[in-house]
Amino acid sequence: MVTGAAAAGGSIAAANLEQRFTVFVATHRERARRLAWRLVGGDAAAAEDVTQEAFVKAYRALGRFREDSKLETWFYRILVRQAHNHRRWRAVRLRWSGGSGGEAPDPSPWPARDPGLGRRIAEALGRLTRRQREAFILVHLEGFTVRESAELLGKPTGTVKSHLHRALRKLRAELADLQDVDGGCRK
Amino acid sequence: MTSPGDERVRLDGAEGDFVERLAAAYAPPPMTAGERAAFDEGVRSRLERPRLRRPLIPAIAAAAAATLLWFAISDSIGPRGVPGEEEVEAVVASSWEDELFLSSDLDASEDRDESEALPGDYLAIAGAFLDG
Repeated sequence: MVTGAAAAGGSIAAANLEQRFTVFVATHRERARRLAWRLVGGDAAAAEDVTQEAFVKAYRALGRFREDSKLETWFYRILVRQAHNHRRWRAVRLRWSGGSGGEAPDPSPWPARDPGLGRRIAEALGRLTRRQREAFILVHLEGFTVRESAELLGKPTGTVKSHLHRALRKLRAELADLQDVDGGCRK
Repeated sequence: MTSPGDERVRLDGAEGDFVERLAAAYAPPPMTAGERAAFDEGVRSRLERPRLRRPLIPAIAAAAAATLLWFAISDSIGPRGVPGEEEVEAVVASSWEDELFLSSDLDASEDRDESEALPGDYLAIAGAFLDG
């Protein structure tokens, strides 16, 4: 994915930047979109919008980061913030249009294998606080470490652990029927 | 991005199974080759869009705030020349107060007519010189 800037400029530095960005997008596209999808409550169009916007910001900041690891942290931080902004705007729109102002799930078709379960999980996640939801999704669903998540959320690791603990307890209570009586999970 | 000693969180037993089930059920399907191409095209077209100039942002924000303020104020003010509800109430209230206090003041001044306070002989002199 080479933009017009490199072609027009023709400089090696610009071309390298383009190349680096292309690799960065290819490496993180899938995970970023999935993370955004989970953060915005399963809305595919919103997830794509949030992810693309985060990549655009990453492109513009590319020159400031020599190490891709720093860029990666910065990029995911932007992505989480973009997703949060989307949720806020959706809540505002709902309130103005006469809705409850809560975070209703998107009405678009649910792509998961079990649509009913997917929606229930989205709703249960929507009832968590913002930080609990973000911490849970980052650590438990996306596999970021606690330290990485703390860095992305701008919170101490202890706070993230506390959010994780509370989020898991709430979700297990809300989705208790997903677990067997003996403590195992229904398959 | 991972630092040494910063390991992934692993939940055991029931919690682990529960989280695994959530992760499996709450995920979008992987992107197809076509979706990946469309996604990249979307990023490219966003990059080619002209950027909003930073100096304009405060001006736009101020204009938006002014618009919101205008809507907020215009809700509480009626059309020009026609008093709003509060204004009518104020007029009514002032008329009522005027009537109560001003008329009672007039009554009071009438009550305080000094003629009634004058002794009878002074009243006779006043009648002879003033009225006659």
